[in-house]
Order: sequence, then C-alpha cells, then structure tokens
Amino acid sequence: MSTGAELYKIEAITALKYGLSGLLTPNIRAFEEAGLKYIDILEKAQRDGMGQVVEDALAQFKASLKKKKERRAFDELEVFINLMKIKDPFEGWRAIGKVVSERWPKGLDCVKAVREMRRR
Amino acid sequence: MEDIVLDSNLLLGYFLPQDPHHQRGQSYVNGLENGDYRFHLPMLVLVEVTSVISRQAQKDRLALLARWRKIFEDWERDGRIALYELDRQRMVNAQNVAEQYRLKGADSVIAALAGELNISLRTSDAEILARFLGSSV
Repeated sequence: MSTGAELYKIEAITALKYGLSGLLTPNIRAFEEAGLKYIDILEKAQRDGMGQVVEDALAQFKASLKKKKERRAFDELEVFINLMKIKDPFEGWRAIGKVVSERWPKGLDCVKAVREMRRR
Repeated sequence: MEDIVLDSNLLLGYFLPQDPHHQRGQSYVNGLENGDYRFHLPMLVLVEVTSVISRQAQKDRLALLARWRKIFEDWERDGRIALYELDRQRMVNAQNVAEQYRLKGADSVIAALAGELNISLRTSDAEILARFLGSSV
C-alpha cells in the first residue's frame, strides 16, 4: 500500500473511532463532526483515485468491533454517513423517508403521532 | 407557484408509504422540488417534526435527525421554504385563532400564520379541517 493510501486509511479509521466514541459517550456533536470528517476524507481519496481504500477501512473497522453495543452504535454511524453523503436535499429527503419508514412503529399514522406529541 | 403553510403531519406523511396521508405528503414535497409550491412554516413545525422522529424512530435516531436538519437548512438557503418566528404579534394572532376556532395551541400557531399570509393551510388533521376555514388537505 502506498504512503498516500496508508494516510487515508489512518485518517479514516481515526474519524470512525472518534464518531463511535461520540455515539457511545454520548457526544452528539463529536459523532456528527467525525461522520462528516469521514465523508470529507472519502471524497478527497476518491479525487485521488483511492476511494476504495477509505471504504475498505470502514469495512475493516466495522469487522473489528466485538461488543454488541459498539456494533449497534457503529450501524448508526454508518447510516449517518450514508445519509449525509447525499448532496441533493430532495434525494436526501427520499433517503430519510426510506430509513424512517423502516424504523416507524407499525400501525401508527402521522396524524396520530403529531397529535400525541402536541398533547404531551 | 403556490404559497402554502404546511402542517407537520403532511411532511411526516411523506416518510410513511403505509400512511393514509402518504400520497398527499408526497405530492407536496414533489411540488416543492419542481417549483409548484413554496412552503411557509412556523419554526414550530420544524421542532414538531424533529420531536416526532425523535420519539418514534426505533433506531438510528441521531443519524436521521442530523440529516433532517441539513435538508431544512438547504431548503431555506435555496429559498424553497420560509421560516417564521413566533414573535409577540404572532402570539396575539394565534391567541385570536385559538379563541375564534377553539383550536389547540400548536394548531393555532400554524393556522394563524396562514391567516397572516392570507394563504391556504394544508393539513391532514381532521379537527383543524373541521374548524379552521382556511385549511384543506
């Protein structure tokens, strides 16, 4: 692996560790900053033709996590990265819609959800 | 282009394909994208949508909320939506709406903005539709 690729890998893993730590602490600001930093590193690496190195670093880091709590938190970091990678706000909106619909309680419609929130 | 006030339930309806109001929510956001609509929203609506996602999303809550905030920043920057603070005059307007139509507090704030701007309020809420004359689905 070239020095440039090594550097991208180290930077990516550092960002992912920081993001995971932010979720576990929890420190929401740190989690968001680290996720955005990872995206920044990925985009720079892609411009240098080394995007795969950064993507592989994420897969390797994920595979190295042993504790269930860490794996669950990392899944959320990965969702954040995938959602924030999308530049177009309407594409982002559609992507959120897909994720929200998969995580929404069955049988709860949006009018009831808003009504319940306004009552409490 | 039509200017409308959009209630939180229609924004949320977009997200849920199984929801009875999904198609309406989808048509408004699609209209926002292709320039048929401009949304005028009390800042309260953004807080409400954030709150509902935060309370109901069973996983990945923080990731969803971060992306949701970014979308609204982008829409506001692009001039697709206009946000309105609840200042003293709007408080008085909302109180008047609450008195006249017997709406709940948050409903009154949203309906009062439609009255102030003299534009239609779009909502899926049966109580608002029944009581507030300037509302439609």
